[in-house]
Amino acid sequence: MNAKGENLMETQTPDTLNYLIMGLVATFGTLALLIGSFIARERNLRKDIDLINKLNDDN
Amino acid sequence: MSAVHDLPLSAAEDENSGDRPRALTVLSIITVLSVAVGLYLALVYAGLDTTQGEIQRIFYIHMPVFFGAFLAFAGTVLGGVMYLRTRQVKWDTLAVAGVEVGLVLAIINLATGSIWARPIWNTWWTWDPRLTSAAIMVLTYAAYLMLRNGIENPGTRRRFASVYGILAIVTVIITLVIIRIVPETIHPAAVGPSPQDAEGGFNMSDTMRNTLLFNMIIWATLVPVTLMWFRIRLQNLNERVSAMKAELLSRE
Repeated sequence: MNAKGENLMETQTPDTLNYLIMGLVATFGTLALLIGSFIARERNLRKDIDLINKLNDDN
Repeated sequence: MSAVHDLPLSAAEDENSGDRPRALTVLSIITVLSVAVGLYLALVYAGLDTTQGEIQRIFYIHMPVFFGAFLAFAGTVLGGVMYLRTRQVKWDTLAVAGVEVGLVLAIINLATGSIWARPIWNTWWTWDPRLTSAAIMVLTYAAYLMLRNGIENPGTRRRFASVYGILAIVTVIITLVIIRIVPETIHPAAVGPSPQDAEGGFNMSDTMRNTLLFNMIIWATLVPVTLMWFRIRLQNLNERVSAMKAELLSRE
């Protein structure tokens, strides 16, 4: 114990909660971007199919 | 429409409807629920590491996603070898799906590692052998996608991608084993003794070990397999559109 009554033998656990939150945001944000790109690309390809079918019908 | 009939079965499903196979829907639900349970175990069930604080919990994602990337890149090797042997498009489709999913998981691995390093190593990045090899691995697979998209001829593109995808696995293996063969690393080992200079290692309690095991199963198997299945379906649709465009142009 020191003069302030603190136990010098105990090490204080650092406050790293913000870094954990940052890590989780990075993880799920990156996954969300991948899944979002899947959805956007599929939507565009289906639009292309509709357009090609329309062109085929016109011909 | 002969090219369309050469496509894998799932492409034929896409031709008739945009409906997702029932098995993929079930797998997606299982994966999402498992990720949620894994997150609960990591954030609540696993004990707090009193030396590192809450940031230690990111380890339950950081390490398993690397093995998820490994599985996806192994799929690329399988796809590459089988494409070169059979010239069937479906194997090239598997290869590109493996690269894209593996690359995203490897980026998550790098990002979570960097965020963990800031409070523990007091730096976002250091040119440690493990970190350097992981960065080279990510750049190698990013280059695969860029180079692949730059080749017009489909046959040449697939052959090139197959060979590149097979060779690129070397960067993954080096990243995996480098802390065992290069002693001057500060990256701790989760399994077995850490290198002499390692900083930030910790002893795992039973709750920590259970949490790691559960998350390993999810992030190293369920997540990459589910994402690759979606990516394969997208690639099949892409091949179908390319075939339809080619047929339309040949008529004009």
